[in-house]
Amino acid sequence: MTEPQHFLKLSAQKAADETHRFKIAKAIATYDAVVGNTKKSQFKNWEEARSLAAQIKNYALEHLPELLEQFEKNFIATGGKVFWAETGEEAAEYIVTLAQRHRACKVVKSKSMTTEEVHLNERLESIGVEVWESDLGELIVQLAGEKPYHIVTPAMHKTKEEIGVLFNEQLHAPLTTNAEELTMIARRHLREAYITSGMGVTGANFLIADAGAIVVTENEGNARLTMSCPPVHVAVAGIEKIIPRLSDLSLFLPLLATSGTGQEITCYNSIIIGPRREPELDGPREVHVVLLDNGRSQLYQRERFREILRCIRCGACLNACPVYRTVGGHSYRTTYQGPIGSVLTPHYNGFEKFQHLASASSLCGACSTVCPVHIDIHELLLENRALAIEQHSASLFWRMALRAYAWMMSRPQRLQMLRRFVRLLQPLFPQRTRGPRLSKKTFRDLWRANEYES
Amino acid sequence: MNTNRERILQRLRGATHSRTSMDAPSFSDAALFANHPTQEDLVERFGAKLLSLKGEFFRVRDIREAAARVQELLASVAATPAKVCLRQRHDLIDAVTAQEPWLQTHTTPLPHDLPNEVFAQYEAGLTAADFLIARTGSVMLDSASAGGRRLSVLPPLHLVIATASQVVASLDEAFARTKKIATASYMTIITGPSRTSDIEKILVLGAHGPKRLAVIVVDKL
Repeated sequence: MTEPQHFLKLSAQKAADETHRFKIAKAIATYDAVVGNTKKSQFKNWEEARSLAAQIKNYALEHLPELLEQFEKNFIATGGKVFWAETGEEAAEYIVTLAQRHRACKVVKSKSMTTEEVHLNERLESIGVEVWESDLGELIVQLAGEKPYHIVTPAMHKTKEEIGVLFNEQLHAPLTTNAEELTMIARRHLREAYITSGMGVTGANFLIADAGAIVVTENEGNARLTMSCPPVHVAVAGIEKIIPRLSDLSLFLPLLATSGTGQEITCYNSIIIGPRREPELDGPREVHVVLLDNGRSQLYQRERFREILRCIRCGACLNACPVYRTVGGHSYRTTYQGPIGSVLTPHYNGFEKFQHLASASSLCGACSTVCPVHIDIHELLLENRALAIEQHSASLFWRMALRAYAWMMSRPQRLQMLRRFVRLLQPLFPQRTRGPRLSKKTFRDLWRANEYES
Repeated sequence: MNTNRERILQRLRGATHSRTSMDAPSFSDAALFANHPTQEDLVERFGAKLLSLKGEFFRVRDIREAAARVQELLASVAATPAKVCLRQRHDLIDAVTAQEPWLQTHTTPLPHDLPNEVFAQYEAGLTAADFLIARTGSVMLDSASAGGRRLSVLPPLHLVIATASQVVASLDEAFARTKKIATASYMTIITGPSRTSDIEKILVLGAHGPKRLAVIVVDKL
């Protein structure tokens, strides 16, 4: 089956699954209520705050090569190591080699989308390294043998009943449906991972050029334990994560928390400036940052797409998207789901396979309205469609269809002809796609007959 | 040597630039945030915020009272005296624990490179901090001010002792005043006890980090 066929099949299944829709609607309603309140209670003017964030990110992108070099220089000066990975393959290879060099047979990970992107777990497991996901949501999907459902809330699609059964089967824990008891089962299960792992792997939410620091945002404390207990810490960061100054965090931390979860600031925000120094009492002796390109610099070269690199991975566009809410995170079969994923994936993984995602949108613009760094996400979906045509990677059928559409829409008579034709055939459509019967008279007819008055 | 580096940078440099601004725009928290503290007592504001985040907050007059508070908090912890609490070697912490013989026997100064397995047996960690942030109810600390990386995250109870003069209005002030960036390898901003809402968006405290965070603010030294 091709990717578009997979997408159609899975999304048709999910859209018709009422239990699934109920779960997602409930989770997102909770999110919407708290995010709305926090925007108002915390920010004087949310619109101004997100414009400011976009400006700072634009500055960072305009100066991306210099800021990356500045980050690298400062980070190396503190004893940290920097590896530039052009591809996901190179990033995974570097980390696998590190694990081998340190004879780490166990690796503990905190939630990170970049390591999902480079398929790190599969690579580590293929050489016999145990990989322990430590974020609660990530642990749940790992135990279920699934991929994250959402970039911020990986296990959004699982009920406490399902998680109870999963923990009972996989961790031999007593059966429970209580969220607190389930969390404590995960807590006890993972203690051993922090204490005995030879290496800790995290992502990074920000790279700070002037301080030569990486920033990791979280709520559970699993990322802090991952970068404090094992002797080696590796952070995998996209090259677009750069911000110029440490002081920018006083905007970006509240901004990310508000859009991500509706908190004013997340529970833990850690700033890592290299490995432990004398006379510090503990901490890893080696800290590595993998700067991941994997398609980002090509995206950067296409100026009209550059703004997508402002993304701070808050997940707000997923929650706002009527398509995501209906088809769910797994139908996309991509690392990044929802509107942001539909823009990024063809650039990272090929237009041949993933250009259909540009059409997995109603173009309603809800994603652009909620984006905390003001990315016109739905406009970029249109740009993806245009690029697919320009590159001739669109199918012959699609190109022919577009030509026919252009012909049809360029004369009113042609459109009316189409309308009459569709109306005639409408009863033959399958019920699910039939829709309300098209009117016999057009708006123009009504206008001419002055019927609009009655 | 690292040719990947050169290739990536070359692609970025080669991309046509339209530079709009000379400097990144600057801003202040006072202009940005609706809940920026103004004239009010910052210690009270910090405390109220921390309580709303389900942290514990105590304001005491001096280190004698602080010592009594620490003892009370540690007395609730069920463990053998030797495994109750690890404490950081730090002037303020030493002064407080010196007040009570009980605290001397129930707190252990954190040694260099305590093995993870042993560390994990302790029920509480007692640390100082760099700043307390009134607007967000956060504690900012680093690996120099708070005894390394694990002491404030591995034990289930995290006790912080700070002075009223360490309370600042907002994050930007803390960043501006922090000089530690050059001397410590790790800073963290802690806002309440560890939490998760990964299961059906239900809030649970104590996911992986401390289940309890108690902050004691001393008015006068």
